Amino acid sequence: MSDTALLDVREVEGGYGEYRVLDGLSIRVGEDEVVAVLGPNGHGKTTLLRMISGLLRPARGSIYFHGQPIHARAPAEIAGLGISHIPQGDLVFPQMLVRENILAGAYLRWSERCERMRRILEDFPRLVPRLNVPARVLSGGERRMLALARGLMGGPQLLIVDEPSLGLAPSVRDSVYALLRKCAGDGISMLLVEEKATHLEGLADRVYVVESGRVVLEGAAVEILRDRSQLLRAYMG
Amino acid sequence: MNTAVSIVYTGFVLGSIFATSAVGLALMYGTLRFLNLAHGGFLIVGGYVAWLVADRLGVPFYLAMVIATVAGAGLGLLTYFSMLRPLLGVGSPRWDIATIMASVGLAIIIEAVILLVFGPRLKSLPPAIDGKIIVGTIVVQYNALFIGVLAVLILVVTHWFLKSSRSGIALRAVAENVQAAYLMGIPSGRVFASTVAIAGALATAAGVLLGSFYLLRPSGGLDPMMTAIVVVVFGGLGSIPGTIVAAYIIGMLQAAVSVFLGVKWASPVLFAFMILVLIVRPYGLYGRPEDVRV
Repeated sequence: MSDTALLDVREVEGGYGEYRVLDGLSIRVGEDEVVAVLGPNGHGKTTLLRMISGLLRPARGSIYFHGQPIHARAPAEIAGLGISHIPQGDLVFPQMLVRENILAGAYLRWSERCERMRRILEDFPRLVPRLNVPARVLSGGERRMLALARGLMGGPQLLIVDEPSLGLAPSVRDSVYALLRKCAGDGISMLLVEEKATHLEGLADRVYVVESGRVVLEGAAVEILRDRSQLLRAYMG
Repeated sequence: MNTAVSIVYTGFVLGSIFATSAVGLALMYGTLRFLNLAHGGFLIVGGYVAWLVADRLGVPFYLAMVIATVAGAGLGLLTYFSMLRPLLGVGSPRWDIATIMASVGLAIIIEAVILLVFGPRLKSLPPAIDGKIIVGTIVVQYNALFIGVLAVLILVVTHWFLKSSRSGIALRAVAENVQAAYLMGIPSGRVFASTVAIAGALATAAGVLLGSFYLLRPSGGLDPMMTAIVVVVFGGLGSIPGTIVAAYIIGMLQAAVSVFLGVKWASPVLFAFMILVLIVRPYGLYGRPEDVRV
């Protein structure tokens, strides 16, 4: 990885009010790289993503994107720089139609919306017959697909996805990971947060393991994912 | 037969005006969770601005309506930047109570300013179109028909804006989930400001439509505002399709009550209906419980 990372999170600390979740956590994501952050629930993975996308401000530390500080910027500005965050729970707009949800994702590239939507729907054929139904009636898997499609409409340079496989049936989970592989193949850098390492082989280039708000293990994905006992030791502290 | 036609005709005209009046209120609640109790003030400002330019300056009705609508958007922006944005900045733990109290204050200020500028005497707007036709035993005023059609046109444009334009989609996204909207790069501050401006414009446009039926007085916004609140509650707080459907149902209801029981029963029946709705269907026609909004 080059010295100038696409995303550079340096020694961030903070959380919710008095409750400190992150304790000097640092990670980097390079251009065209897929990085996974693994760790047990409640150890700061989601908090890290919320800080990167500006939904939460770090109490200390800094976050750089393309070498520019973003830790004090508003979430809409950060999205405008090219970071797309697919949060846990997907946060689709339930009363809006699926088509309108996807269009909302094109807010920053409105003039290209029709062409982008046509291209993105080629990768999301399950959504095509559902375009004119409200998002609230979608299944969990369809909602995840919609959140991904919407997140890609803005043409992100960095896609950050919180627990892409959470709560999905195995076949749907495979479809979601196939789409993430396609995104990686298209040159989109990614930061994925997962509790389990099962689906990351062949997708992630590097892995960080987080525990109690700190990185306790990092390295090439092929090495870390091969030695599950090392992972287990990191999980167990 | 004539009675039924009369109810449908009057109900259509009333429903169209109620819908135009209530959609702004619903938009504001849907996006900002702000029940604007100064909405009546906005309505009456529309009527007075139109009267000023049409009656005093001789401007045609259509242009007077455009000027009043622009004034309403300006008043909306002024309300946002002087009242709502500072309240948002404070991050009040009781946003609903704070904004309701602030909007009551704004309503009193607007009424006082209108009284000061225009005086207490009643004013009347000139009709948009003179003339009438008689259908059976029903007298159809061209003005009423025109106002009804104009209101429908305003609703169609509003519908297109909300469903198809970049700003409309952004506004609805913010209304549904402001955090998810942030992540799409949608700037909430700009959306909030434009929502209040659009709501102000719709309210003053409705005020002009109402002003061509009723005499203008400084406190004249209260009754139509209460009707708009009933419409919004019945439609499902914040739901635009619900608001429009509810407006036509309530328009028909008021027309029927006026025909069968007399005009004086229109308001009591309306509020009895609202109480019934709150008991039987607390989220209104198209409303959903807050926790389902995600």
